[in-house]
Amino acid sequence: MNKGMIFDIAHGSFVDGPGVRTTVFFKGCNLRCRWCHNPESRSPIPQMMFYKNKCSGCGICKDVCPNYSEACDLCGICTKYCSTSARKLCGRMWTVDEVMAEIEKDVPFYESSGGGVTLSGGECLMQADFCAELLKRLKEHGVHTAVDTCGFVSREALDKVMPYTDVFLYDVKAIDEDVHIKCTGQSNRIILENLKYLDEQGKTTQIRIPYVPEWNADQIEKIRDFLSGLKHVDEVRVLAYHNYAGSKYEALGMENTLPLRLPNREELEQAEQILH
Amino acid sequence: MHSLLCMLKDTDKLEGIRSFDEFYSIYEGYLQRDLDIIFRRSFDGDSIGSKCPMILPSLLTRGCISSATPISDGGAKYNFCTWCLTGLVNLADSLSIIKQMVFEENRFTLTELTRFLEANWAGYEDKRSYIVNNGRYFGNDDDYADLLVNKVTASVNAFAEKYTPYRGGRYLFGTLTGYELSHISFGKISSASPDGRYAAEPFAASISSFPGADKGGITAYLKSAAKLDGRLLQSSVVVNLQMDRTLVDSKEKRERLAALLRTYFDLGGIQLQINYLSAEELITAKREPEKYKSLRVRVTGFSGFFTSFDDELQDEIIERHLHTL
Repeated sequence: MNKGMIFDIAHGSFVDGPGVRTTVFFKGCNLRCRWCHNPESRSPIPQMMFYKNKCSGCGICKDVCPNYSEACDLCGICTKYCSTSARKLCGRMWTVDEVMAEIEKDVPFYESSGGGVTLSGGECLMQADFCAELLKRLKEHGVHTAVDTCGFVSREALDKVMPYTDVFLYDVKAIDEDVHIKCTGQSNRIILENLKYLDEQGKTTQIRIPYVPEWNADQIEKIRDFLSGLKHVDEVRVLAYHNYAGSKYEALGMENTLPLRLPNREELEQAEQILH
Repeated sequence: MHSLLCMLKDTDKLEGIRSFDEFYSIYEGYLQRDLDIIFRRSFDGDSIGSKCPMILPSLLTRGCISSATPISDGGAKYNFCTWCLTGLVNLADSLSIIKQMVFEENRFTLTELTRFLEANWAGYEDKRSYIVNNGRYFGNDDDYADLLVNKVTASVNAFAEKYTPYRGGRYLFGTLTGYELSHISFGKISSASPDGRYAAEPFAASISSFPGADKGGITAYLKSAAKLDGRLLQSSVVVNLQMDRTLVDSKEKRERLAALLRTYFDLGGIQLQINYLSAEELITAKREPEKYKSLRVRVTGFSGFFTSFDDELQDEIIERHLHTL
């Protein structure tokens, strides 16, 4: 049976698609965006996160660790005892049944709000088989489904989930290839082709544009021009860059590469004006 | 809760208990003993009260004029005498912890639990952390803990049926802790409890989850609250919801909230009140993050757990709340 590497399931989200939603966060991503606010979603394997500033120094983690003298084997026992939640085990394998059990709890809230389930990440379509199986089950239960993707995935992955996906929340970060490579480490050729492909197939998309002044401020007009050629774009939303993920980089022992400058209100309003 | 804490002090009676059902039936004995004292005192108190009849309120209360009897002697048409069950959620959580950790997982014995409580968890911080991190608490849409609230209120109602208040009618129960703040004052005089509460800490305000234990988010909390059996809580029920005000700062989001609430009432919810967060609370959350694990705040295009943010961001959000007040 298929299993998926998931690091969080958020209940009652208001921001991941229409209505009240349950958002499933998949672990593993193939882009390395400079502004990434979910650095724990990058690696496709579980990770121990340690928030130094929360640690009370009590030492329980050391006492209960069965493996203290050796390398951490991610058993997670320390997280069960940590009284300040300074230690957190991020990511584990879930079966479709397990995810469905979590989701089923929220079903009553979908009906009244027009909500449903959103698969997000990380890049959820790196686990397309699992996603397809989960989405298929959701459609059998009549649940509205959304897939939040960066688009840097194979055509095959898209085809697998397309029949069971009501709306794609699709990121467009830049149109110029060199800018995109600088921003994310990868070319956007596949991403833009995939977006066109989804549109040709008649799939509804909601476009999300992270606005990061240092990196893609000059791309907004080009994005608008690109989108004007698409027929099934339901909504275009600008997401203001924020630098709040700093503590997560530290907790993961990663270098914090977040851009320093935040967008100001004028810039955001201007971007909105260009797009709408 | 008082009855449970008393029971746990009678260590000689705890030794032979083998199952949670057996534990609960002995607990009911303690509960009955306490309720008996309460109902008798209430009867005596009301009989003394009737020596000074309240004439003006009686004139304004249906039934008193036609029966020519003041309120205090049972002249009113509806004669209920209501009690508020303070610490109800802490009690259900405590029973849930005992069921789970003593009788199912065998992590510690009842006698050991008594020792933790007597020490006010000092020297047993690891046990307390384990309980709080892994216990099954009310507010997570988990029948295991949620239905224990109904189990306790069913016991209370069953005993109460045997008593008639001085004014006639019957005893009814609710969870209101009003402006007298009994959850704080009763908490102050109570020892530590099995749910991880320290001695003298407040009990949960009405139907609120143990601080930080409602990890399942808003939908799970509302579903837990909707499971409360209204037949057993016929007096006031108060369900508190803490929310960040930016979750309702646009028409679109308010509509989603409305849908959320509609579902809650469709599921059988009785009452609900929403508290928008104040800056003071956020300041406390920053200082005592372990109690605010479930506090989600909306930042810009996303919402996240307040306690997971770094210091500067927390300050920034606090600052923002200072301005919205």
